[in-house]
Amino acid sequence: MDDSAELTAERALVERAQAGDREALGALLRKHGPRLYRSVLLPRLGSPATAEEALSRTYVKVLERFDQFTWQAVGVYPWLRVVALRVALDLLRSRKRELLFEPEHIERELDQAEREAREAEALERHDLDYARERVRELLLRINPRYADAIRMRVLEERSREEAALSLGVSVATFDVVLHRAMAALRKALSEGASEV
Amino acid sequence: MSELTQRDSDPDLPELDAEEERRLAALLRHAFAPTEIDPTRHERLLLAALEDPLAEASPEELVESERLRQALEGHGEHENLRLARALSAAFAPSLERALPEPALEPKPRISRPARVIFYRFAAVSTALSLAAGVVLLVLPELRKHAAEAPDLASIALAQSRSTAELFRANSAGAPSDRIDRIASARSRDLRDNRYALWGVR
Repeated sequence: MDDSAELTAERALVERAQAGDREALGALLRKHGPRLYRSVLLPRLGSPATAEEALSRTYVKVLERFDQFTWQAVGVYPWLRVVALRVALDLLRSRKRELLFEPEHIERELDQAEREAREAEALERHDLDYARERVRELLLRINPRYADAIRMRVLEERSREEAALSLGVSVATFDVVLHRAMAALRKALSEGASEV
Repeated sequence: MSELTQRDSDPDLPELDAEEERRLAALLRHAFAPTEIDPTRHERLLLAALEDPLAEASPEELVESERLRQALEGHGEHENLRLARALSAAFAPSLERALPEPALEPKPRISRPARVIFYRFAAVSTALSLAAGVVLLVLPELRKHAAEAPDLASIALAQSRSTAELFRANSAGAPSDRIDRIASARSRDLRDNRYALWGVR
Protein backbone atom coordinates (compact mmCIF):
# COMPACT_ATOMS: atom_id res chain seq x y z
CA MET A 1 0.00 0.00 0.00
CA ASP A 2 1.52 3.34 -1.03
CA ASP A 3 1.45 6.42 1.16
CA SER A 4 -1.66 7.99 -0.36
CA ALA A 5 -3.64 4.74 -0.17
CA GLU A 6 -2.49 4.29 3.39
CA LEU A 7 -3.63 7.79 4.28
CA THR A 8 -6.98 7.21 2.60
CA ALA A 9 -7.50 4.03 4.62
CA GLU A 10 -6.43 5.85 7.75
CA ARG A 11 -8.89 8.64 7.11
CA ALA A 12 -11.71 6.11 6.79
CA LEU A 13 -10.70 4.63 10.14
CA VAL A 14 -10.61 8.08 11.71
CA GLU A 15 -14.14 8.83 10.49
CA ARG A 16 -15.44 5.55 11.84
CA ALA A 17 -13.66 6.11 15.15
CA GLN A 18 -15.11 9.60 15.48
CA ALA A 19 -18.54 8.10 14.86
CA GLY A 20 -17.98 5.95 17.97
CA ASP A 21 -16.49 2.79 16.43
CA ARG A 22 -13.98 1.60 19.02
CA GLU A 23 -12.64 -1.12 16.77
CA ALA A 24 -11.63 1.51 14.24
CA LEU A 25 -9.93 3.53 16.94
CA GLY A 26 -8.24 0.35 18.13
CA ALA A 27 -6.90 -0.25 14.63
CA LEU A 28 -5.43 3.25 14.53
CA LEU A 29 -3.76 2.86 17.91
CA ARG A 30 -2.55 -0.62 17.05
CA LYS A 31 -0.79 0.88 14.06
CA HIS A 32 0.74 3.96 15.72
CA GLY A 33 1.06 2.95 19.39
CA PRO A 34 4.32 1.00 19.09
CA ARG A 35 5.88 3.94 17.29
CA LEU A 36 4.79 6.34 20.05
CA TYR A 37 6.36 4.02 22.59
CA ARG A 38 9.62 3.54 20.70
CA SER A 39 10.31 7.04 19.50
CA VAL A 40 8.50 9.37 21.91
CA LEU A 41 7.91 7.79 25.30
CA LEU A 42 10.70 5.33 26.02
CA PRO A 43 13.58 7.63 25.06
CA ARG A 44 12.19 10.50 27.12
CA LEU A 45 11.02 8.60 30.15
CA GLY A 46 13.89 6.15 30.30
CA SER A 47 12.16 3.01 31.55
CA PRO A 48 9.88 0.52 29.82
CA ALA A 49 7.50 0.48 32.79
CA THR A 50 7.08 4.26 32.79
CA ALA A 51 6.80 4.33 29.02
CA GLU A 52 4.07 1.70 29.09
CA GLU A 53 2.21 3.64 31.74
CA ALA A 54 2.54 6.75 29.59
CA LEU A 55 1.26 4.91 26.53
CA SER A 56 -1.73 3.69 28.49
CA ARG A 57 -2.50 7.22 29.66
CA THR A 58 -2.06 8.44 26.10
CA TYR A 59 -4.68 5.98 24.89
CA VAL A 60 -7.12 7.10 27.55
CA LYS A 61 -6.67 10.74 26.54
CA VAL A 62 -7.06 9.83 22.88
CA LEU A 63 -10.33 8.07 23.68
CA GLU A 64 -11.57 11.09 25.59
CA ARG A 65 -10.62 13.67 22.96
CA PHE A 66 -10.70 11.95 19.63
CA ASP A 67 -13.80 13.84 18.56
CA GLN A 68 -11.69 17.03 18.70
CA PHE A 69 -9.24 15.76 16.09
CA THR A 70 -9.44 17.43 12.69
CA TRP A 71 -8.13 15.46 9.75
CA GLN A 72 -4.77 16.60 8.39
CA ALA A 73 -2.98 15.68 5.21
CA VAL A 74 -0.19 14.03 7.17
CA GLY A 75 -2.57 11.70 8.98
CA VAL A 76 -3.35 11.15 12.64
CA TYR A 77 0.12 10.38 13.96
CA PRO A 78 1.24 14.00 14.59
CA TRP A 79 -1.86 14.53 16.73
CA LEU A 80 -1.26 11.29 18.62
CA ARG A 81 2.36 12.31 19.17
CA VAL A 82 1.32 15.62 20.70
CA VAL A 83 -0.97 13.79 23.11
CA ALA A 84 1.89 11.43 24.03
CA LEU A 85 4.31 14.34 24.50
CA ARG A 86 1.85 16.03 26.87
CA VAL A 87 1.57 12.84 28.90
CA ALA A 88 5.37 12.54 28.98
CA LEU A 89 5.58 16.16 30.09
CA ASP A 90 3.25 15.52 33.01
CA LEU A 91 5.28 12.49 34.05
CA LEU A 92 8.57 14.34 33.78
CA ARG A 93 7.23 17.15 35.94
CA SER A 94 6.23 14.68 38.65
CA ARG A 95 9.49 12.74 38.56
CA LYS A 96 11.56 12.37 41.72
CA ARG A 97 14.88 11.37 40.21
CA GLU A 98 16.97 12.64 37.38
CA LEU A 99 15.99 11.64 33.87
CA LEU A 100 17.76 12.48 30.65
CA PHE A 101 15.06 14.92 29.61
CA GLU A 102 13.72 17.95 31.38
CA PRO A 103 10.15 19.23 31.08
CA GLU A 104 11.55 22.17 29.10
CA HIS A 105 12.68 19.78 26.38
CA ILE A 106 9.16 18.46 25.92
CA GLU A 107 7.64 21.93 26.01
CA ARG A 108 9.96 22.96 23.21
CA GLU A 109 8.96 19.92 21.16
CA LEU A 110 5.30 20.69 21.69
CA ASP A 111 5.84 24.26 20.46
CA GLN A 112 7.56 22.91 17.41
CA ALA A 113 4.79 20.38 16.79
CA GLU A 114 2.24 23.17 16.65
CA ARG A 115 4.27 25.06 14.07
CA GLU A 116 4.88 22.25 11.59
CA ALA A 117 3.11 19.15 10.38
CA ARG A 118 5.24 16.17 9.37
CA GLU A 119 4.37 12.63 8.47
CA ALA A 120 4.72 9.76 10.90
CA GLU A 121 8.00 8.38 9.54
CA ALA A 122 9.63 11.81 9.49
CA LEU A 123 8.50 12.50 13.03
CA GLU A 124 9.78 9.15 14.20
CA ARG A 125 13.20 9.82 12.68
CA HIS A 126 13.22 13.24 14.29
CA ASP A 127 12.31 11.87 17.70
CA LEU A 128 14.90 9.11 17.62
CA ASP A 129 17.60 11.50 16.45
CA TYR A 130 16.61 14.03 19.09
CA ALA A 131 16.97 11.47 21.88
CA ARG A 132 20.35 10.31 20.61
CA GLU A 133 21.49 13.89 20.35
CA ARG A 134 20.46 14.41 23.96
CA VAL A 135 22.65 11.48 24.98
CA ARG A 136 25.61 12.82 23.03
CA GLU A 137 25.08 16.22 24.55
CA LEU A 138 25.18 14.77 28.03
CA LEU A 139 28.31 12.75 27.32
CA LEU A 140 30.03 15.91 26.18
CA ARG A 141 29.65 17.31 29.69
CA ILE A 142 31.79 14.63 31.31
CA ASN A 143 35.41 13.56 31.02
CA PRO A 144 36.03 12.04 27.55
CA ARG A 145 37.34 8.82 29.08
CA TYR A 146 34.16 8.55 31.10
CA ALA A 147 32.16 9.23 27.97
CA ASP A 148 34.09 6.52 26.13
CA ALA A 149 33.49 4.05 28.94
CA ILE A 150 29.76 4.73 28.87
CA ARG A 151 29.56 4.66 25.10
CA MET A 152 31.34 1.31 24.79
CA ARG A 153 29.85 -0.53 27.72
CA VAL A 154 26.37 0.98 28.02
CA LEU A 155 25.40 2.19 24.55
CA GLU A 156 27.27 -0.27 22.37
CA GLU A 157 27.13 -3.07 24.95
CA ARG A 158 30.67 -4.20 24.32
CA SER A 159 32.32 -6.59 26.78
CA ARG A 160 34.27 -5.32 29.77
CA GLU A 161 37.45 -6.84 28.39
CA GLU A 162 37.06 -5.15 25.03
CA ALA A 163 36.18 -1.80 26.58
CA ALA A 164 39.10 -2.07 29.01
CA LEU A 165 41.49 -2.92 26.19
CA SER A 166 40.24 -0.01 24.17
CA LEU A 167 40.78 2.37 27.08
CA GLY A 168 44.19 0.85 27.81
CA VAL A 169 43.37 -0.23 31.37
CA SER A 170 42.81 -3.48 33.20
CA VAL A 171 39.29 -4.86 33.46
CA ALA A 172 39.18 -4.11 37.18
CA THR A 173 40.22 -0.54 36.52
CA PHE A 174 37.63 -0.25 33.79
CA ASP A 175 34.92 -1.20 36.26
CA VAL A 176 36.01 1.66 38.47
CA VAL A 177 36.16 4.04 35.52
CA LEU A 178 32.65 3.10 34.46
CA HIS A 179 31.37 3.57 37.98
CA ARG A 180 32.92 7.03 38.14
CA ALA A 181 31.59 7.78 34.68
CA MET A 182 28.06 7.08 35.78
CA ALA A 183 28.52 9.20 38.88
CA ALA A 184 29.83 12.02 36.73
CA LEU A 185 26.84 11.68 34.41
CA ARG A 186 24.49 11.89 37.33
CA LYS A 187 26.24 15.00 38.54
CA ALA A 188 25.90 16.49 35.06
CA LEU A 189 22.20 15.67 35.00
CA SER A 190 21.57 17.23 38.40
CA GLU A 191 23.45 20.35 37.38
CA GLY A 192 22.09 20.44 33.89
CA ALA A 193 18.48 21.51 34.36
CA SER A 194 19.39 25.14 33.85
CA GLU A 195 21.70 24.46 30.94
CA VAL A 196 19.31 22.77 28.55
CA MET B 1 48.99 -0.01 30.42
CA SER B 2 48.25 3.16 32.35
CA GLU B 3 46.01 2.74 35.38
CA LEU B 4 43.80 5.40 36.91
CA THR B 5 44.26 6.25 40.55
CA GLN B 6 42.05 7.69 43.22
CA ARG B 7 43.93 10.96 42.73
CA ASP B 8 42.65 11.22 39.14
CA SER B 9 38.97 11.15 39.99
CA ASP B 10 36.78 14.16 40.66
CA PRO B 11 36.44 14.39 44.47
CA ASP B 12 33.01 15.97 44.06
CA LEU B 13 31.49 13.00 42.28
CA PRO B 14 28.25 11.95 43.95
CA GLU B 15 27.92 8.62 45.70
CA LEU B 16 26.41 6.17 43.27
CA ASP B 17 25.13 2.78 44.33
CA ALA B 18 24.80 -0.15 41.95
CA GLU B 19 21.07 0.28 41.50
CA GLU B 20 21.36 3.94 40.57
CA GLU B 21 24.20 3.10 38.22
CA ARG B 22 22.02 0.54 36.45
CA ARG B 23 19.16 3.02 36.24
CA LEU B 24 21.33 5.65 34.62
CA ALA B 25 22.73 3.13 32.18
CA ALA B 26 19.18 2.12 31.23
CA LEU B 27 18.23 5.75 30.69
CA LEU B 28 21.07 6.13 28.27
CA ARG B 29 20.35 2.90 26.45
CA HIS B 30 16.65 3.62 26.06
CA ALA B 31 17.36 7.08 24.71
CA PHE B 32 20.13 5.96 22.42
CA ALA B 33 18.61 2.76 21.07
CA PRO B 34 15.02 2.36 22.23
CA THR B 35 13.49 -1.07 21.99
CA GLU B 36 10.06 -2.06 20.68
CA ILE B 37 7.17 -2.61 23.01
CA ASP B 38 6.32 -6.26 23.45
CA PRO B 39 3.35 -6.91 21.08
CA THR B 40 1.45 -8.98 23.65
CA ARG B 41 1.84 -6.32 26.30
CA HIS B 42 0.82 -3.66 23.84
CA GLU B 43 -2.31 -5.56 22.84
CA ARG B 44 -3.30 -6.04 26.48
CA LEU B 45 -2.69 -2.39 27.23
CA LEU B 46 -4.67 -1.31 24.17
CA LEU B 47 -7.64 -3.56 24.92
CA ALA B 48 -7.72 -2.32 28.49
CA ALA B 49 -7.77 1.27 27.27
CA LEU B 50 -10.48 0.59 24.71
CA GLU B 51 -12.79 -0.95 27.26
CA ASP B 52 -15.57 1.46 28.10
CA PRO B 53 -16.13 1.55 31.88
CA LEU B 54 -19.36 3.50 31.38
CA ALA B 55 -20.91 1.15 28.83
CA GLU B 56 -24.49 0.08 29.52
CA ALA B 57 -24.66 -2.79 31.99
CA SER B 58 -26.14 -6.16 31.09
CA PRO B 59 -28.64 -7.82 33.48
CA GLU B 60 -25.93 -10.28 34.55
CA GLU B 61 -23.59 -7.41 35.34
CA LEU B 62 -26.25 -5.73 37.45
CA VAL B 63 -26.76 -8.92 39.46
CA GLU B 64 -23.06 -9.50 39.92
CA SER B 65 -22.39 -5.88 40.84
CA GLU B 66 -25.04 -6.06 43.56
CA ARG B 67 -23.56 -9.32 44.88
CA LEU B 68 -20.11 -7.76 44.95
CA ARG B 69 -21.44 -4.67 46.72
CA GLN B 70 -23.02 -6.81 49.41
CA ALA B 71 -19.90 -8.94 49.77
CA LEU B 72 -17.77 -5.84 50.19
CA GLU B 73 -20.12 -4.73 52.96
CA GLY B 74 -19.70 -8.04 54.73
CA HIS B 75 -22.85 -9.82 53.54
CA GLY B 76 -22.35 -12.96 51.53
CA GLU B 77 -19.50 -14.09 49.33
CA HIS B 78 -18.26 -13.13 45.90
CA GLU B 79 -15.40 -14.52 43.87
CA ASN B 80 -13.87 -11.05 43.58
CA LEU B 81 -14.04 -10.33 47.30
CA ARG B 82 -10.87 -12.26 48.04
CA LEU B 83 -9.13 -10.40 45.25
CA ALA B 84 -10.32 -7.09 46.66
CA ARG B 85 -9.13 -8.09 50.12
CA ALA B 86 -5.75 -9.15 48.75
CA LEU B 87 -5.39 -5.82 46.97
CA SER B 88 -6.34 -3.95 50.11
CA ALA B 89 -3.92 -5.95 52.24
CA ALA B 90 -1.11 -5.52 49.75
CA PHE B 91 -1.68 -1.81 49.32
CA ALA B 92 -2.15 -0.85 52.97
CA PRO B 93 -1.63 -3.82 55.29
CA SER B 94 -1.71 -1.59 58.38
CA LEU B 95 -5.14 -0.15 57.72
CA GLU B 96 -7.31 -0.67 60.76
CA ARG B 97 -10.51 -0.78 58.77
CA ALA B 98 -10.02 -3.80 56.57
CA LEU B 99 -12.55 -5.23 54.18
CA PRO B 100 -14.97 -7.42 56.11
CA GLU B 101 -14.43 -11.13 56.29
CA PRO B 102 -17.27 -13.16 54.81
CA ALA B 103 -19.73 -14.69 57.27
CA LEU B 104 -18.92 -18.36 57.75
CA GLU B 105 -22.54 -19.49 58.23
CA PRO B 106 -25.74 -17.49 58.13
CA LYS B 107 -26.98 -17.20 61.71
CA PRO B 108 -30.64 -16.73 62.70
CA ARG B 109 -31.11 -13.35 64.27
CA ILE B 110 -32.20 -13.52 67.93
CA SER B 111 -34.12 -10.56 69.18
CA ARG B 112 -33.20 -9.07 72.54
CA PRO B 113 -36.46 -9.95 74.49
CA ALA B 114 -36.14 -13.63 73.55
CA ARG B 115 -32.55 -13.62 74.80
CA VAL B 116 -33.60 -12.01 78.12
CA ILE B 117 -36.30 -14.65 78.64
CA PHE B 118 -33.77 -17.36 77.93
CA TYR B 119 -31.35 -15.96 80.52
CA ARG B 120 -34.12 -15.67 83.14
CA PHE B 121 -35.27 -19.21 82.52
CA ALA B 122 -31.69 -20.43 82.83
CA ALA B 123 -31.19 -18.58 86.14
CA VAL B 124 -34.42 -19.91 87.65
CA SER B 125 -33.62 -23.46 86.54
CA THR B 126 -30.15 -23.25 88.04
CA ALA B 127 -31.47 -21.94 91.36
CA LEU B 128 -34.07 -24.68 91.55
CA SER B 129 -31.48 -27.33 90.74
CA LEU B 130 -29.16 -26.05 93.46
CA ALA B 131 -31.96 -25.93 95.98
CA ALA B 132 -33.00 -29.47 95.12
CA GLY B 133 -29.41 -30.63 95.49
CA VAL B 134 -29.09 -29.02 98.90
CA VAL B 135 -32.33 -30.61 100.06
CA LEU B 136 -31.23 -34.03 98.83
CA LEU B 137 -27.93 -33.71 100.66
CA VAL B 138 -29.19 -32.22 103.88
CA LEU B 139 -32.47 -34.10 104.31
CA PRO B 140 -30.95 -37.54 105.01
CA GLU B 141 -28.63 -35.94 107.53
CA LEU B 142 -31.52 -34.17 109.18
CA ARG B 143 -33.50 -37.39 109.21
CA LYS B 144 -30.53 -39.22 110.65
CA HIS B 145 -30.08 -36.62 113.35
CA ALA B 146 -33.81 -36.66 113.98
CA ALA B 147 -33.74 -40.41 114.36
CA GLU B 148 -30.82 -40.29 116.74
CA ALA B 149 -32.04 -37.26 118.61
CA PRO B 150 -31.93 -37.91 122.36
CA ASP B 151 -35.02 -38.02 124.47
CA LEU B 152 -34.91 -34.73 126.29
CA ALA B 153 -36.86 -36.13 129.20
CA SER B 154 -34.31 -38.86 129.78
CA ILE B 155 -31.26 -36.58 129.58
CA ALA B 156 -30.06 -34.95 132.74
CA LEU B 157 -29.37 -31.44 131.62
CA ALA B 158 -27.80 -28.89 133.79
CA GLN B 159 -30.55 -26.77 135.25
CA SER B 160 -30.40 -23.06 135.40
CA ARG B 161 -29.52 -22.10 138.92
CA SER B 162 -28.65 -19.20 141.07
CA THR B 163 -25.11 -18.00 141.42
CA ALA B 164 -25.55 -17.61 145.14
CA GLU B 165 -23.84 -20.87 146.06
CA LEU B 166 -20.84 -19.92 144.00
CA PHE B 167 -20.53 -16.78 146.03
CA ARG B 168 -20.96 -18.60 149.20
CA ALA B 169 -18.45 -21.30 148.38
CA ASN B 170 -15.68 -18.93 147.46
CA SER B 171 -16.58 -15.82 149.32
CA ALA B 172 -12.98 -15.23 150.28
CA GLY B 173 -11.87 -14.35 146.77
CA ALA B 174 -11.88 -11.02 145.06
CA PRO B 175 -15.00 -9.98 143.06
CA SER B 176 -13.31 -10.47 139.69
CA ASP B 177 -12.31 -14.02 140.66
CA ARG B 178 -15.87 -14.77 141.54
CA ILE B 179 -17.14 -13.45 138.21
CA ASP B 180 -14.61 -15.64 136.42
CA ARG B 181 -15.71 -18.71 138.31
CA ILE B 182 -19.36 -18.00 137.53
CA ALA B 183 -18.62 -17.52 133.81
CA SER B 184 -16.56 -20.69 133.72
CA ALA B 185 -19.28 -22.72 135.45
CA ARG B 186 -21.92 -21.39 133.09
CA SER B 187 -19.78 -22.23 130.08
CA ARG B 188 -19.27 -25.75 131.35
CA ASP B 189 -23.07 -26.14 131.83
CA LEU B 190 -23.69 -24.88 128.35
CA ARG B 191 -21.15 -27.29 126.85
CA ASP B 192 -22.59 -30.23 128.78
CA ASN B 193 -26.10 -29.41 127.68
CA ARG B 194 -25.02 -29.10 124.10
CA TYR B 195 -23.16 -32.41 124.12
CA ALA B 196 -26.14 -34.08 125.77
CA LEU B 197 -28.46 -32.81 123.06
CA TRP B 198 -26.08 -33.95 120.30
CA GLY B 199 -25.85 -37.36 121.90
CA VAL B 200 -22.11 -37.30 122.26
CA ARG B 201 -21.73 -37.25 125.92
